[in-house]
Amino acid sequence: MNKLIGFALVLLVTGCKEKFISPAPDVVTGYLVIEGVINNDGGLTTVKLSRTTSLNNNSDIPEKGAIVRLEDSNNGNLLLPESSDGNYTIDNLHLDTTIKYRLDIKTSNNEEYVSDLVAPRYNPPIDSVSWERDDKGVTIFINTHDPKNNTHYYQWDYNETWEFHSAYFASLKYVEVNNVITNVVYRDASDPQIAICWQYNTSGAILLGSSLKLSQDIIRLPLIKIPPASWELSVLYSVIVRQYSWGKEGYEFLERMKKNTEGVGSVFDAQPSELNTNFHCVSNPSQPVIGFFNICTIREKRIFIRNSELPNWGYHMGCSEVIIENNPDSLRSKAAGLLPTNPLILGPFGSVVTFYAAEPICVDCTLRGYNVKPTYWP
Amino acid sequence: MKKWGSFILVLAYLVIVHPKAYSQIDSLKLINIELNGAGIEQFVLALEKQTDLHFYYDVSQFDSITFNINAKKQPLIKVLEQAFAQTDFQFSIAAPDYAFITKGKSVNTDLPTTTASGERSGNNQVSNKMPAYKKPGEEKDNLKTTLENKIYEIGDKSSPALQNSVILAGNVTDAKTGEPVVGAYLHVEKANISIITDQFGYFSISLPKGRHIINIQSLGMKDTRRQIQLYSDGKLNIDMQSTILTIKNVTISAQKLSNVRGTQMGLQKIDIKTIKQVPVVFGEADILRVVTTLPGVKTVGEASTGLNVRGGSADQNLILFNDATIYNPSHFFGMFSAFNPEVVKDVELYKSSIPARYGGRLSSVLNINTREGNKKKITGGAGLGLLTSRINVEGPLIKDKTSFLIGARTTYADWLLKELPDQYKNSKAGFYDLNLNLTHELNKKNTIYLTGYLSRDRFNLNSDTVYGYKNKNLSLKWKHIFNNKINSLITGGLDQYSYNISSNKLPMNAYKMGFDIHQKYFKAHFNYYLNNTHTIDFGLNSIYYKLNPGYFNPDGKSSLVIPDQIATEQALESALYLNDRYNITPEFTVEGGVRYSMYNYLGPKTVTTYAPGLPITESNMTGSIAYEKGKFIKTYSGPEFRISTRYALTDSFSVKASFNTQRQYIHMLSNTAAMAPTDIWKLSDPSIRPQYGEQVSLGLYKNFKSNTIETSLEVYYKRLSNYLDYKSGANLVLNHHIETDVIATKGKAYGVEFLIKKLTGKLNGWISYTWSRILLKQDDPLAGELINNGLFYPANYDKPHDVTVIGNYRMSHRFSVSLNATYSTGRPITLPIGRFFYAGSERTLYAGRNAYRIPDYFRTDFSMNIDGNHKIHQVTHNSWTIGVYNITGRKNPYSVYYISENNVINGYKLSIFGSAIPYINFNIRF
Repeated sequence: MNKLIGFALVLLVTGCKEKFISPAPDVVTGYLVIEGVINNDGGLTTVKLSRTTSLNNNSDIPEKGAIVRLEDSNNGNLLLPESSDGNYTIDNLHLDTTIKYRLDIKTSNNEEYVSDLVAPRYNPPIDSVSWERDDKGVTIFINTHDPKNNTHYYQWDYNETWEFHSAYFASLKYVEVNNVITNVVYRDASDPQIAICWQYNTSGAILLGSSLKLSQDIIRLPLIKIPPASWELSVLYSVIVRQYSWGKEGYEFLERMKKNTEGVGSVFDAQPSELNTNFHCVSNPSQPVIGFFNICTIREKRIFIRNSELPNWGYHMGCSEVIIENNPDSLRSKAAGLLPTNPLILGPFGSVVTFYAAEPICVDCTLRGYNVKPTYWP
Repeated sequence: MKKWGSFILVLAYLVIVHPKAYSQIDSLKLINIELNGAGIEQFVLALEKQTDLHFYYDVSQFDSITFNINAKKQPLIKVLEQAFAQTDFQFSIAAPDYAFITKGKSVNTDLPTTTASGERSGNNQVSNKMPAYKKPGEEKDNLKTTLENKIYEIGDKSSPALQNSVILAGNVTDAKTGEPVVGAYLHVEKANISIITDQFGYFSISLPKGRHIINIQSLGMKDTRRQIQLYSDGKLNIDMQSTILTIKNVTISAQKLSNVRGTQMGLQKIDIKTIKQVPVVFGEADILRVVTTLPGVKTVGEASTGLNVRGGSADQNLILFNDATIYNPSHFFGMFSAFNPEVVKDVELYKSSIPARYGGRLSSVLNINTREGNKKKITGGAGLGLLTSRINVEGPLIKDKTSFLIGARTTYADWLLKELPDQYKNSKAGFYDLNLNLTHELNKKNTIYLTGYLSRDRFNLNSDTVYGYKNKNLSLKWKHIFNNKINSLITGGLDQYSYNISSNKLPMNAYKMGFDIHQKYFKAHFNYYLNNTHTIDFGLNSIYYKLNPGYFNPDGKSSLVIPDQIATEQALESALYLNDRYNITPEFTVEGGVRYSMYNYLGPKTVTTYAPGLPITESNMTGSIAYEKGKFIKTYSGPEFRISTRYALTDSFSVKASFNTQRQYIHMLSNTAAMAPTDIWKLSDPSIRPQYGEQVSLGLYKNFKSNTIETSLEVYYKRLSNYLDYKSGANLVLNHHIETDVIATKGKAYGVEFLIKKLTGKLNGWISYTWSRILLKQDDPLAGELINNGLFYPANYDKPHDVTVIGNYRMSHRFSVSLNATYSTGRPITLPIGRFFYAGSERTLYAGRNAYRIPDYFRTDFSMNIDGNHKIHQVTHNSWTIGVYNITGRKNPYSVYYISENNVINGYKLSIFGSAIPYINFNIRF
């Protein structure tokens, strides 16, 4: 249906999408938003608390100072301390899958929210994260299956990292006196590394998949599309995919949220849906709350894709160099707005007589990313 | 007859060969006469007393003529000359015993063509007046004049004089094509009785014996009249001439009079000629879009041909195409309506008093009538547009007995798709529709009609998802005239609608899914014309539904999709009805109808049961009961009342009131604002009750300027119950227990509709204004979640103000310009009231269903219609339509939505047509 929608859109809407200024007043809603899945594989669990805010307010409102506890049906409980503003974390959880748990939240303004009791959910390991290349670029697929045919509802998110290089590896740098370029000298070890950098991206969409309509609990779905010749795959790319399993209602909660905020803009839009929840405000039962409590083993898988695996990827920065003479007049007139790369003519004692220079973006990768190599990078 | 013929011949001899063959004796006989303000009878009597002559004349021609003569011993001829000096009456003294007073130049003795039937026995009265000259090309007019002035003697003169009233029946046909003229208005002078021909051009009327003048008027036809001498029950067939080639257009349309005189309220009728003048997008004459310009009819937006009539939803309209129910009346995502304008004759929309013969939908009946094929000769037409082309051929199979009409339409929009961005370049989109009409007249009393209709849409979206839907309809109709008082119409047919979607991009998930509905129907309708004061309609309708609510099957060997099929649903909907139109006085008419409808939900089906008194949710399921084939699972029934009344204060001013109740047993499930191609239908079952609606309306109708300007004002109030709305996140596709996702709401709708219409003259068109509201409410916590805290909320199509102006100016007979303008309040939407961050992105928080509105809608369209020359004797007639849709280029928002892009919430308004869209169309007739 989505395709259909898109089609109808393109067919009919010839530049007819305009910004809409809401006539709805700025309401301060301030409902509690609870996000996070209790991770039952021993890894880190983070529960994020925040408040809804008005449409025009651009900053998020973390819910600080709440007491977040994981309670079990045998009256045991664990505290999730606040590690940073609005983030309540606990590590190394191994819950008993035969009993049920709930989350209990007491906010600093004395509201109390409790979830329904839920049992930790099984989540099969990810079979593989694979990729295919065609004329539309590279598509990354998630492949998973539950031999017990019992999981059916999946959610994924991912973190992408990619290494990219400056078009020119600079060996020179300017010497500036009072913001005036006076000389060109060689870079040394104390200078920041500006040739090799990394960039990151996190999934911003709710990625859902269900095998309910299939005869076996098998999933193969495209998760990420990387267009041809894009910089993500110019050197080395990596993605870590995390998989969550959900129950029917929790999946529906995510699906509604996705429909409300992502699956819109078509001629055949469905009505916005109210979000279902398994949290209740104990202190004020009519108080809306957003979130769905879920416990599962969070599975993850990382893959790497090298540029060498993609012949003729076609990434091109469109950079070119100019030649500048290393004297104050020339530097003053030509060097501004460019960065030096390498010497062309050397004078006595290795001094630079003329040198190449290029647009900063072609030379300094930190303008587009970070120059610190991630720990997991090969 | 022979005797009569020879008599005429003698007359001819006398008059033509000896034009001045006055009897010497009689013409010179001296007369004494003194009359003041006398009528013709007195005048003739005086003359007859003094001569041996017997005078023949047409009384009706002397209605307003009085005689003031003072003659003493004057010859008869002088007296007559004096009497008729200032008039165009002529006299002839033919034989020793006969004299004729005629209107016109002279007496012409051509044998008039007669279509009157009925026994004639003996005669002592004849009138035969003909113009003396026949100018070339005047033949048709003369024919008309002849027929008009002839007196048709109908019935057996010797029939006993026991009854005073007799029945006259017959057909009104188009003289040129032999097609029936529907809705022709017959008015009997003096008796002041009117009748309108039915959909077959048939009429039946009760009249006192004796002389009558019947005036016949119909839209697009020249007015004509017939003079009859009625002795007993008989037939009168009337041919009418179309006005296409007349220089002076003095058409008086049938519906102008019927608007004031008919008891029907809220009936709008538009003929195809008017529809074609209205500018539309891409220039394709579009029936449904023109219907949306009428008062009380709205649509959610431009990408939808779904009609919302007086606060009804799109599924509450019964769309009948020659008796066949059309479930999806649109092509191309609702851009075009699915009816080929070339085969359509006219469209009737009933929105307040719905005749008892129709039922099964709450809001309206949209009756689309197709033409019958030309019975005289083979003709046809073709049209070329930017996106669509069409062709139609019609003609006789057996002359004057059997005719056919074939129409076809197709699109070639692929070129447009090629212009789209790369990702849609491999898309294909297409539709076609086919029409076949056969009419066979077995004899004067029996006619058979066969209608076939097929429409299909198919979209291939970049070779990924293939999507299609189709309507298939076949009907056979038998019209039988028992006698002048009773006629019947027996119809049987099959209607089918289906859609399917398939996708094979991911082999493991490749699927085919679909939905279909089949219905077989039988209708028997009888019309009993009891007498002048009572006309009774009665009959029965029966529909057998077989609905396949959805299947989802694997496509290809590697697909792991589990075949899923929701068990079919069966139901039988039957109704008996009786309707009486009672003319209490010529001014006051009451029409009362009762329709008793019964609905049986039939096995085989396994029905889920729910705990009584608890909300219908999955958690309250108690079990299931399996029913065998043919078993009655659930029966709903009840009477529906259709009452309307009219009081004519004057000839051109009337007041009407009506009360209507309706039951609807089939529901459309759609969670989108527009009528989406994937909407499915659901039969009422033990958990989903039939919809019920009742409406009262009151209207004032006034015509001005000899009925050329028609105005009306109608007020209505309507209540709905069991109208289906949806729970949040309702899943409507392949849901095995859909009853858990829907909620029954109550609704109320009210409004005022105003219309000024002028369909004749150089400047024609209409202005309509509607103020209306439609509010829904779900306040029963047992039924499921409350919407809007149980308070009334506006429905998606609640657009309080709605103004439409449709104008056409005929510069000449070959050139006209049309302009329409429409304004309406923006439709309601649910807007977010806040935002929050979740799953890596900003998300919107919605509350308060339909609490806000999109910006108001305004659009103006313009078109020029250029006809080729009007010479009759040429092989083809051409015409061009050139126009611009949305000439101001206003970006009318169709919807507003908020989406998170790059982790930021952005609001957008989406317009379907964001600029002016020019179009050109070429049409050819042969």
